[in-house]
Amino acid sequence: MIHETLQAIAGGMVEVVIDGILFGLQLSLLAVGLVLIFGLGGILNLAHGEFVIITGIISVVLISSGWNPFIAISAAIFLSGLLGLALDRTVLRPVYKLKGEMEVLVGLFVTLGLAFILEGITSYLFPGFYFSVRIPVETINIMGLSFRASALVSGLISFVSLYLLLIFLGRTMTGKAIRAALQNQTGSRVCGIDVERMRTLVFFLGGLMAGLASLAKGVASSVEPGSGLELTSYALIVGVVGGVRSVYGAMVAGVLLGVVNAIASYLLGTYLTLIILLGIVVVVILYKPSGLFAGGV
Amino acid sequence: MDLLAVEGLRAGYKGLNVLWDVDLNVKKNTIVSVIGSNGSGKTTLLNAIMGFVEVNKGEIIFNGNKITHLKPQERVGLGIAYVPSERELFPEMTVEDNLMLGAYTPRARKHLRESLSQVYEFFPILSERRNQLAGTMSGGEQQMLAIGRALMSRPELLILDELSTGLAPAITLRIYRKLEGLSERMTVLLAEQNIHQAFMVSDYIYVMENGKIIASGSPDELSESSLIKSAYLGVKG
Repeated sequence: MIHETLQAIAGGMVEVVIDGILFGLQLSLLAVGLVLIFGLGGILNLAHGEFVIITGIISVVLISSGWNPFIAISAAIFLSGLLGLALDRTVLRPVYKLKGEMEVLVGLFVTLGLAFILEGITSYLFPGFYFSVRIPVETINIMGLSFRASALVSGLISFVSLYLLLIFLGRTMTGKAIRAALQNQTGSRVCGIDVERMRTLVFFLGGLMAGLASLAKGVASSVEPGSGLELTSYALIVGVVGGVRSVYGAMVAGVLLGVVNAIASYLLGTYLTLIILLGIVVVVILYKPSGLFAGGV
Repeated sequence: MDLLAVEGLRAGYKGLNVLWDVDLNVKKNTIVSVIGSNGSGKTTLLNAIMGFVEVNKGEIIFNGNKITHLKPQERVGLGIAYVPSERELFPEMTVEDNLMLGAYTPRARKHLRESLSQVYEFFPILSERRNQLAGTMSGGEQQMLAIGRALMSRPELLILDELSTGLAPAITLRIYRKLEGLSERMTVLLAEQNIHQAFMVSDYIYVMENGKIIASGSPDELSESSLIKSAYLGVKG
């Protein structure tokens, strides 16, 4: 009897951990865009979560207009990338003329202002709206363990997106040039790399990643106007823990925090998980301010 | 024919000139050195030629074209490679990735594989360390990597700043010996505090002081100059 109970608890914990990994992949996907943009642009984009919301809204609007859902969602994700590009080319242009702390500080205010504006507009124009992609199967059983199909698909979307990003950054010349520019801008210019063009590309990529995060979240649960700043906060937590300039760091930290989040909500309840995550952030800031996995881009 | 001509250059930082009316000419397939004490303006001159420093007056002409107001990356695209004194490598990337990025420009990318083999042949240690992270290499190896990365762009003009900084004399000498062979294929402009090494490899030398060129000539001519003898070669006249 005790043996069976322990087995059930262990089985439950495995499900919780895998659920945490799947949620963590979503967090990673959400955070890599923020980290990429901060790493090269020097801007902590506090409107990042709004990109997720806007992708959801555009998807629903296009689907409602009769577009094929696959094409509509793909177009919305691409538009999120273009929104990132537009942010770099317009409102942030004057910010880049500032140097050092002023650039970071003014960048924070500009993107925070933008976040409020976008949140206000989306909440006003689309009250009660939500973006959710329904998966026809409710649960999937693997080796005697039961998982939500939506969580698995969402995790798969996140994993494939992150994997493709890694391939792009690690194998292509443009990806290598982005990593180079993240590490050393003077060294990049010496190689003939146009750092400003790389920054614009990174904003596009950041927007694209936010768009994909919207799809992953829409599959796992739903995307609603008004939750943009909360999503940005999660991305920031992952960024700080992983290393705010490290793409790999964000990926690992996202999964790690996803697991912590799942175990904490399983053992202690949901209301305590955010406090625990913030507690981890405080400890990391105190003992390793550069982030747990800072270094590798 | 001059590959590079600097005419009446005034340049500096935040509107303040460090260089004053600098004239400098570099002929094709020669090694030209700029020597001078610390703070004489050598690095600023090279940075101005590369586009990292604001030019307030004068012109920089490369291959007959004015490049004074081009961005650094555009100058690299035209065939100028630069090895800064700080090396400016990508420490979290492998040796091979660093080298490949040296061939980022379209004109260099076409010959990437060929250039990579040439660089590995030139510096065999880089081939042995191709999968090692650049940041974990010794100073001498990093210097070879920085030069190798510059060579990957298949430059017409290779600019080197303070090659000997932080390196053991034996390693510096080895790199200089390698560079001597390069002038058959390209033109080299270097700034150097180590006067003896500059005299050893150069075809022509400019001497800088307080942001101005105060003397120039072949190593033989300059070694006869009483100013150079007393100030730089430690010979009392």
